[in-house]
Amino acid sequence: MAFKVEFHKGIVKIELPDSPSMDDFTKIKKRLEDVEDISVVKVDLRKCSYIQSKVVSNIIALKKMLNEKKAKLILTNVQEGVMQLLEITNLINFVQIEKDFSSYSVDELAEFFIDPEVCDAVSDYIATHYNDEFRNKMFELLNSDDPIFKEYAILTIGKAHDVTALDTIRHALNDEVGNVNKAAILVLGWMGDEESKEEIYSFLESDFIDVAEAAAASIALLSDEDDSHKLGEFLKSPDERLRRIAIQALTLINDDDSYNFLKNHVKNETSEMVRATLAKSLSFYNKAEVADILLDLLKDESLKVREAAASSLIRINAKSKIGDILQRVTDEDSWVGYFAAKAIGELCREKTCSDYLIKVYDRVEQNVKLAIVHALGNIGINCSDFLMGLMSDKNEDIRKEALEAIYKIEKEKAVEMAESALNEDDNWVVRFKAVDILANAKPSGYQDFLRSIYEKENNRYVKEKILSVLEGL
Amino acid sequence: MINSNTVKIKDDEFAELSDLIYKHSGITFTINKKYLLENRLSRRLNELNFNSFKDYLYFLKYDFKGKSELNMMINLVTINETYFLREKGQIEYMVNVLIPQMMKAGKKSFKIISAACSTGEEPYSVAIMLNEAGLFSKARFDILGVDINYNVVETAKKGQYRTVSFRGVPSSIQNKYFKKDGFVYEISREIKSRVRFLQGNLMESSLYSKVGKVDFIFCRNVLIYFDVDAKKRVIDNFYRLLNTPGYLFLGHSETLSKISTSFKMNNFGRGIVYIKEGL
Repeated sequence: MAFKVEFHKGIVKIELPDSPSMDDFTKIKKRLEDVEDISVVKVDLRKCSYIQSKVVSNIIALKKMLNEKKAKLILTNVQEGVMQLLEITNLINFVQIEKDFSSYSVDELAEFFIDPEVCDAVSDYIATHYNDEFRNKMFELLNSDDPIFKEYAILTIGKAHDVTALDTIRHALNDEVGNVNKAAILVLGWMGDEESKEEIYSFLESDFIDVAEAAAASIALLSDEDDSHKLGEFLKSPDERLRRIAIQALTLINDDDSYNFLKNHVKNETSEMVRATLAKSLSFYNKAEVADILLDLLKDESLKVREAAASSLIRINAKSKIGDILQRVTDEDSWVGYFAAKAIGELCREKTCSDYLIKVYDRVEQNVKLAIVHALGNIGINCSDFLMGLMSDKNEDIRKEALEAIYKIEKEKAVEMAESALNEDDNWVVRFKAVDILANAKPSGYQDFLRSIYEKENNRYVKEKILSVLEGL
Repeated sequence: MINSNTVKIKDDEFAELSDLIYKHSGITFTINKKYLLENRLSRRLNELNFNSFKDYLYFLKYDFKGKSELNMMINLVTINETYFLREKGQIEYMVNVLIPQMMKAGKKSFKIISAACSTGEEPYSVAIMLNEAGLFSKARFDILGVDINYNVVETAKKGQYRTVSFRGVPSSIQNKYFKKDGFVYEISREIKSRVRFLQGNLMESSLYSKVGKVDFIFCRNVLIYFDVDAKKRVIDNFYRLLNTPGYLFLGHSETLSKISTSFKMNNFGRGIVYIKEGL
């Protein structure tokens, strides 16, 4: 069987037969030679369970030809056997590999629903290209005995917002399979089906956490002024998990009533896990007093609550509380210190902050040191001498963070340090960051420099990174 | 959902995490599997209040709980979704063709290993089909499921499943071997007693000394997660583990081409089997 070629707006799609030959490639190259304005050539390998090594060399030649035309080569729908060959021949990073669902029939696409690795992407694709043919297939799957097909048909119909399936989806709330219930709950929320709201409330108590969380999300989408009060009642439940689910739903509603319920509940909640959830939830409200509540929670007896409060401080814009947060950098719990230092990096741009962080640096644990170095880069006040001193620290993460921080403060200096790290640092994590910095800073001659480094580099991650930077050019 | 936002992973974080996973499991996550790490680990990051993979990497490296968290992380990323009677043509070929042939030649005892068995659907499927063929009364069978993931091994031992494990399974088989209790289907005691489970890493040779010589290995849809070096190492281990003759079944998209020349390949129509033959 011969290959097929389709042209569409500068994109050429070539479907190879199951055993592509040298002759196929000669013909393909000939057809492309005279075509102008090609931006992308997609070579579809879905029929090829294996290809000969000679075909691989033809792919390289095709890529070279396309490079000259300033067009990109993408291999699509590559099967495992071919992937293995590309890996053995060290070409896996040389070519771009993608999934191209447009090559498949509706039935073939639906079969992908049972593949956990691609099911979501296929569902998105069908929803984006929803037409009568897809619709008929999804309706057929709605009545399937297989719960996976049913679940994905519901989700896909929901994403396509096909309300003609509303009754069938409502019916799926009674299905015996949790995943089908979850899909139906989510889609009824997306479709704004208020009639189902009462029934969805009953799923808040489901044995399956995914189903209960889906119910919380949909209730929030379908909520009116009464729902915060109704959900507030659940905060009195003796069931800890139900209280956490109710907190999620209230947070998603995010109105004044829900805020008051959550704020008042902080004082009464006995479970540390639920208090930690509250600390996180409150940070999603844009209220000035949240900062004070979180700072109070930093004194909580529970480590989990203190850590949740500290990490939440990063989310809110608590600029007026910088002094209080700074004091927490040296907290006895190093993760509170870590989050406090990160929060300072987000909130403060003053020299007083960077001076304080440098002052306490030697007193804190390693993870806090890393957060401090990161924060110094974000604050942006010049402290290059301190940071450059850290480039000889024995910990590779400190060196990596220092390099990144220097880049944020003084780009030229960072380029110098990155080049020297690529030549001298014995840890690949630091060298990887150095490549990243050169790729972003783009100093003159950096491509040649990276090419020379590529030759002597022995770490595969760094090599791949260099290759991706050079290929991107 | 405030607890299940997908956290995006940056290139450097991805490289570091992949390296960590590779060193502890042999499993390779290439850049096109980035989304898989994001999907499988985001909930855990949210639970720990981390909003970046960098935070999580530092937790793994610098917290005193890092080692146990590393095990949990490996468990989360190595869950292999499967279902009963998946690619059953290969099991049928073993049960209806290979085992009867070997029995005719006088063999009375068989050892079958399901490598990377996940939650146990594959080894239990083997036991079900041996039972359907009436072979348990004619020979001795030792069926062993192995997985690196402690949690899935424990789930497999319980033998309790939800409907998603029964894609395409005939209801006659489901009703015969499973007892339904609410949402849960529990495998019959008889089948459960036929299968043993072991937690272990296919990359480590110590595992193979615990297992002993085997006649059949099922290792399906697993090698796709290994790089070429790791594949070669695992396949070499399998070769040493197998009796002569011994049979290796891989997933339908997997191949030993350029990985090993030790096995003879046989396409039996509904699938492929790799055979270790005598010299």
